[in-house]
Amino acid sequence: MKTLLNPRWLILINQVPVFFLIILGLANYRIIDSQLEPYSIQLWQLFGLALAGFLIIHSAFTWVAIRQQKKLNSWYGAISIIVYTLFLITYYSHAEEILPRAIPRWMVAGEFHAYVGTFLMPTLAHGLLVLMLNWTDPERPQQAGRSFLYALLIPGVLYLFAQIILPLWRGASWPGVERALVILMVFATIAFLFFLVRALYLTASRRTIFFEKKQLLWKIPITILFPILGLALNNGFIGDLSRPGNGIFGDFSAPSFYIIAILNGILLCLPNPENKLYRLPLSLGRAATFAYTLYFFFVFLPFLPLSVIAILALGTGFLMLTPLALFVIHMDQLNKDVIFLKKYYKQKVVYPMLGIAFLILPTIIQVNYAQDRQNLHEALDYVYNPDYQKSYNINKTELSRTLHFLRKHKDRGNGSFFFSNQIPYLSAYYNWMVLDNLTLSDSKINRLDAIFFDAPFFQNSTQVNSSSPFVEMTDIQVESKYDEQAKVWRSWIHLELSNNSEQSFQEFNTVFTLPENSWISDYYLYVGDRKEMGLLTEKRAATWIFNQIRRVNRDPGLLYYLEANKIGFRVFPFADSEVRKTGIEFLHPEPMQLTFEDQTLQLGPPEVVATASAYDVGMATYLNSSFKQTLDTIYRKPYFHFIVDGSAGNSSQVSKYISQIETLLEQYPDLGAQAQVSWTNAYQTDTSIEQDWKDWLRQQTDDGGFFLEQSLRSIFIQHYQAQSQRYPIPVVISADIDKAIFNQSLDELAFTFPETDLFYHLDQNDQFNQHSLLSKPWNAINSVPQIETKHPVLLWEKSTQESFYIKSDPSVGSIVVDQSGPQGTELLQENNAKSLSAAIAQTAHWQKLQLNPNLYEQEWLVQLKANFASGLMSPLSAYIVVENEAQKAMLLKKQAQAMDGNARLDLEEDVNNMSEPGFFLLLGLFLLFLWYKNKSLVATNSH
Amino acid sequence: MNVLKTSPLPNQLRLDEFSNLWIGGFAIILLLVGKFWYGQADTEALLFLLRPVSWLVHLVSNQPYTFVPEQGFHFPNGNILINSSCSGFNWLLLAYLLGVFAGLQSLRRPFHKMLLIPTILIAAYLLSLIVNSMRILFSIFILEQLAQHATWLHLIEGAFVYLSSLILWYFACQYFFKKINSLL
Repeated sequence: MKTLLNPRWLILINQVPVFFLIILGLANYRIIDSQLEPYSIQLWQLFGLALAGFLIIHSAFTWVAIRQQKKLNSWYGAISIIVYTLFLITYYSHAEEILPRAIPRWMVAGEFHAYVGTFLMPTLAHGLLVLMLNWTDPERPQQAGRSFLYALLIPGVLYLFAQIILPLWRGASWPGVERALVILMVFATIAFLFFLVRALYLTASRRTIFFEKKQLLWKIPITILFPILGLALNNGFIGDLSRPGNGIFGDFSAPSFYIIAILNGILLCLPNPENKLYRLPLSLGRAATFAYTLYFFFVFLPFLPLSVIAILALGTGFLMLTPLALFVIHMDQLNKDVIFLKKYYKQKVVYPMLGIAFLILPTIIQVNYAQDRQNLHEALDYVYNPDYQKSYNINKTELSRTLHFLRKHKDRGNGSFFFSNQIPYLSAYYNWMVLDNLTLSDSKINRLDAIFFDAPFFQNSTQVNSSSPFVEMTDIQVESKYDEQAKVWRSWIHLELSNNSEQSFQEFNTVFTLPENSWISDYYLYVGDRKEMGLLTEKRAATWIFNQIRRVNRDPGLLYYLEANKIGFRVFPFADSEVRKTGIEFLHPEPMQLTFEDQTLQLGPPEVVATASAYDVGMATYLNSSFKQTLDTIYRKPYFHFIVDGSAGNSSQVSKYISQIETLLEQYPDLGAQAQVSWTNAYQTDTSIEQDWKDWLRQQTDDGGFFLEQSLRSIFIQHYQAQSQRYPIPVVISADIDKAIFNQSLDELAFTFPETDLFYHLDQNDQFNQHSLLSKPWNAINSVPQIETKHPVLLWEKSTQESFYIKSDPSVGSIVVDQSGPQGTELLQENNAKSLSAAIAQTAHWQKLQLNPNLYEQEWLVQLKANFASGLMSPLSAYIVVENEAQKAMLLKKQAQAMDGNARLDLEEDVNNMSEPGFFLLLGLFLLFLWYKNKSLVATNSH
Repeated sequence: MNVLKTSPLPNQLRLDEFSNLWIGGFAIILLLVGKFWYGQADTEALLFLLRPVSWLVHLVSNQPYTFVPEQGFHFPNGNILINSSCSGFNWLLLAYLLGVFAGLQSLRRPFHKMLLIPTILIAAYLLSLIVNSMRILFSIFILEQLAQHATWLHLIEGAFVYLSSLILWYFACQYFFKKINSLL
């Protein structure tokens, strides 16, 4: 313990945390300063300067003390405690002005007020220990009992003070008395902690004969009983302070916390014999569990000032002091172990051994988290970005553990230190390590659970509409102009929206359908008298910021894709009877009609009919409506693709399913000729009707959920890529299609099923139910007696080798993409202006991502950057108007986070970037060189 | 006095260690701040490195270049972009670190050590411009000659130029500081 008097500790305990606190404060201040009142700015500057001043003075003192080889004395301890305590009291008494309620909490990283306490608490705790070590004579063991007595007396006196003296003051209001009471309380707490730590130190140092002889009498309670009691109390297993899974100081309910607590206690209670063979593993064990003790010491450090209050309020509050007591005992024990081991082993061996042992628990945590990350990302890849050519086999046991952990660590956003279901510090680390600081929504966790473990699935099909009934469109103007160079119509719709009530904070929230082959290319919203143009941003960042702003009643407008061609449009807020103006620009190659708020608008004159043309931008072509009318209509031959429900519990139904398929094959011999059969659960396996499909079905095992969406996607994508002259009609054979798992409809893949957007479900009564692939595929549209098999399609023969099947709808144009050729990136970069070619390129690239979801992770940024360059909105981007610079800064920060911080708009793809080698690579190479040089030098000298 | 200079007292040795600890710690904090800042810095923030480097590359190669806002300095011949990822800041940081530590190993007087950080920073900055320009010029040469293997050759070439220059710099610093020490 005496080593704590070495001033070098101050660098670690004071200078590093205070430095980071200043950096953190600066980072937060830069974001919110434009929102602060002058008084708050003054406070930020004052406290910031005070901290910087403390840092400089403390650093200078450290430097002088190190130079003069002086140990820290009681003056240092007392002054640092007084100065930092007064700073904290003053800071927290101004907390409301420093971060006024008007500042949205999402703008500030984490709980900034809590950070101030957390970062300064090590200095206070160290000051206390310095004071204690200086004022404690280890040769006077009787001080231990006296210190315990004083420690007990302080809460007692405070209790009497609160019961007898304070009531006499009730009603009297003397200036400053409240602050004086706070200061009194804080310093009484410090005195209490001082005596308690001193008593523990003397006891743990075995200076007293009684405590030495009967050490188990106090060691067992402090190292085993109190930790277990504390954990149980925190987790709500005893007492009624909290409920299980929602601990007072965090969720420590995992069995591992209890197991390590017991193990740690046993290791600390075991005797210390002089036998090195026994002592070495014992010491290593103690070093290993020290990570646990240290963790709880840091978790409880900010709460130490509350300990006296906790003891006064509840008797069990003394358990809050357990981590501190455990820390003192553990440190002392390790110190003794080191002294012992040094007698038998070299110092160079002892410290690395103990260091490695100490790292065991953090390493286990790290390995577990890394494994969780891998499991989760593999499962998410399979569900959201699958590679249809690859076969997946996800380890379900590990995934189950990961999902369990994920729920525990998941940020519920209450941001509170108390009654949280998070594990302090570890949850934040988990969020960073496993989730890249993003969150996995409950619905996604539910989907993974349903797909892999057949858990009940909750279809998230309803959009929450927060639109006010009082806000309506009162005027709409259309302005269209043909851009000869860009070969498109640019049409603005200018909207006037009015709040017809006297209620404030109303929202306009609507959904409209974007006509095929049209794109949103600009947006504006009036904020007061100022016309604010929309920023095209990453969609997740934009929706996040919109929702945050909406909570604090500022002025955002948002325009984004909900589904393939459904656009969400929101404006907020509307004050009492307020009229707001906004507008959206559309890009479209031919005149079109748009339905907005039940009004049909004509964008571009209808009488303008373009001559038949195919506008080719390389591997993608736009065929206008006139051109499509010149194409031949043909009928491709359909075939059945049976999708058999293979989810848990369906093995018993296989015989029934086989007989249903046999009946269908008899009824529709033409469709059955080359039919395919798939067994679908979390995964899909296929066979052909020409094989021994019945035996094959009987051999399959049922497991997990019925992931029908993935199966349908796989069928259509593989069929489309084969460019077959036949087309599949999916027939789902399932006893319970309501259990089928869908994330969304297949509208993004509409180009892969030009004949029909229907699939069929054959129910238990052999009845056909029609479902739409384009809208809510989980709901049946109606029952039909038989399957429709004749669907027209247009045939476009681009060349003798290239034929395309296009939806037979000659009233609108179509974009046809040659999926076999190189595409996407190059095409996007060549076409980055607000033009038809850019729109075609973006659509072509988007189609590519739909057909190859496995490329999504590596290419979505390419699409997003192309959106930014052209101004054309895609399902990945959103137009947003924010009110001020602070919101814009936050939006860009969130966007950078969503784009992984690495995204910068590049020039062309083939640009030669002169990137330099990485810092750590160079450092590693240099260290390798130094090591080699030293080794050679040693070898030369030894010769 | 001469005795003290040639064989310092144990107390003086300890003082050296203390100032080493303090200045070394400060140098590392400065390095961490620099690394953190570099992580956030865009092309505009790094113009103090990019502009002279581009000018030096232009001077030697005689190729025209233009500044593209938010992107960097673009050399149309060969379509070469010098942006924030090629600023030479990594080299500068490492050279600064090695220079400071070479100085702390050799220098005795605390006053000299206090001058160390600013001196090394200035020297490392100037040298980083030359080293980085050399690296880029070599890269351009490789690109012209062996375009098909350019990516990994570029990486190896960069590592080679940087590492060899760092080694030279480190030994030069050691030699220089020892010389200073023996002279003063």
